[in-house]
Amino acid sequence: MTNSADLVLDGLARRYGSTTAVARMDLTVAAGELVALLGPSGCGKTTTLRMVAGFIEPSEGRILLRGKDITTMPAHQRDTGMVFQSYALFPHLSVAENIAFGLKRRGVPKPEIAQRVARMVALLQLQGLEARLPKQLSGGQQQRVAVGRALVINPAVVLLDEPFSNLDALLREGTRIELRRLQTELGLTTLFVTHDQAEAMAISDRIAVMNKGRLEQLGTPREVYERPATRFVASFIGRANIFVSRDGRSEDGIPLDGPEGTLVLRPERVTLDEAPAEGPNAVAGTVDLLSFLGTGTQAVLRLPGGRQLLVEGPASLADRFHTGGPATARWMRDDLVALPAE
Amino acid sequence: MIEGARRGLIAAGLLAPAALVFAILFVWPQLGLFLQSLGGPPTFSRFLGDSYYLGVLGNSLLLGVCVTLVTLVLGFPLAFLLARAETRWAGLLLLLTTFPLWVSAVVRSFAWMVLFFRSGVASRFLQGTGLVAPDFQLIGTFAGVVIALAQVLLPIMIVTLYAVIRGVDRDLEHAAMNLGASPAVALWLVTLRLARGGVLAGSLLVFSLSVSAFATPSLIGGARAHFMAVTIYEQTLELLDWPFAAAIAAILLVISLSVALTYGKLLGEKTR
Repeated sequence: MTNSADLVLDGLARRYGSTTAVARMDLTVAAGELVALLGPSGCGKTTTLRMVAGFIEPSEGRILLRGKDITTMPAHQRDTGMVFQSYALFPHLSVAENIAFGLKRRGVPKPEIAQRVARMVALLQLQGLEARLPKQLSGGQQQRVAVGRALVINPAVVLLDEPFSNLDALLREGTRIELRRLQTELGLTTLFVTHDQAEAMAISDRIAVMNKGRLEQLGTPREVYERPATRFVASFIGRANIFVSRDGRSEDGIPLDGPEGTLVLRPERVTLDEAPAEGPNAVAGTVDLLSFLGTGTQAVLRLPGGRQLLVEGPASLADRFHTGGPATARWMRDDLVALPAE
Repeated sequence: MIEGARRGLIAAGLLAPAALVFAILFVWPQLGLFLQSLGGPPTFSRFLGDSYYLGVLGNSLLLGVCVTLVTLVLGFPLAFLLARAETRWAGLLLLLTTFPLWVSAVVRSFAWMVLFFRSGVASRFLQGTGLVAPDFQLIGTFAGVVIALAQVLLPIMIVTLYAVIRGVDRDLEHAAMNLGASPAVALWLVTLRLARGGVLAGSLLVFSLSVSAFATPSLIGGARAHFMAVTIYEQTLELLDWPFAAAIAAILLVISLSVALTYGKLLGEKTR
């Protein structure tokens, strides 16, 4: 059953006048899978999520949920559970009443409501807060109530709209691990909108990278990072040096030994030394910036052609080189990853 | 301690101008009015013991309730629509709804009179439905006064509700629908509950303006306009019984204030 498609977006599109918010999107989310919609703001990821929830009407295409066409179904009849970026907790209702809201609308008998709310409260460690109003909770607690309210109705698909963006950095990491654990344990089919590539990499089964309303690439975090399909994906997921190679030289004259076409070189694949640059896949430059990051050092090497080459290496780089001094960058043939011809 | 005292002083300083104006222009005259009502023969017992005057009071309160209900029922959907419209025309449309307020009460009432006389469009229409007598006219009727007052006070209700509904996060309605509430149920359980402050404020404004209205009730209601403000006018200018007029004014103030307070309390409790 794990390979059955729970959610299918079939040529889904949304236009506003002459602007295209989402262009013919095809996406399948398998049962129990977590797929991230990743992209910069305005890329159409939230519009896509809201079309699935039924808040925005698609201009074209179909949405199938567990095999049923829900494209024109009103939002309240769809079996989706959404966690909003602002949480959208009902400010006039207590924690327990917020969580019970969906169960009440479904006509679940009172004793069962109490039981399921209590289970959710325990699962999300909200014990003792049942009678509080949302404004009496911390940000992290509010986020958990929002999650509980969406999960308690056992939706066919869980929709997460930037659920961690209002939490501080420390809490964010813990919360996303917790949510991933919950999602895996309960086998929740999940569509997750985020603009944070690290967040998407950390908890997704697959990532759908979107840009300007288009789906640029769909793949596992490793695929998307190691085999980016487009220049945009390469520079949005992680950092990248991009060369256009023709006849063994880049557009700015660096000798390259690798495939022809548009090439991606990840900063962590580049090493720095003091020896002169000889032969291909080596270039000398001036260190423009060295920043110590704890786990390593990030360097920016200014090349004679004006290019700024990004380098990531061990912490010791900061001791061996200094800003304004010379350095030679080197990499291996296999480190140059060709993008499919665009 | 010193910090607290300073804050108190600043707060008092900020409040002082408004409080002073309020005291000089409202409390002091009201007090004078009240004292005046005590001069001469007993006025309050005369009012409260006379079924005619009690009827006038009841009429005014009923007028207030009717106009408030009409403006609330007509105003809420419009205010909701304007508040949720995703167009830059919404602001202009809101401005358009306030047009009745820009026209003088006298001019507006004359316009209603044209429609309300026996041969006027509105009266003709009602005659046509067969629900009223063939010689029926809206002028001089309670319903006519309600219609004319509701028209001019509707913008006040709409503008008040609009501001409050705009303040209700739209995603709260989305969340309710996402959890299985139909749009109507979401509106009832979420938007209306959260907009109750606006419903209360709008109702109080419209109610107090209705019970104390003079021009519209006297022009549309005509000789049979038995409303408080009209009666105060008669007592003051026609019968020259100033103490009694002052007493009526005081009674109107106390009664409408207590109605307002009760309403506010009821609304506050019911929605919690």
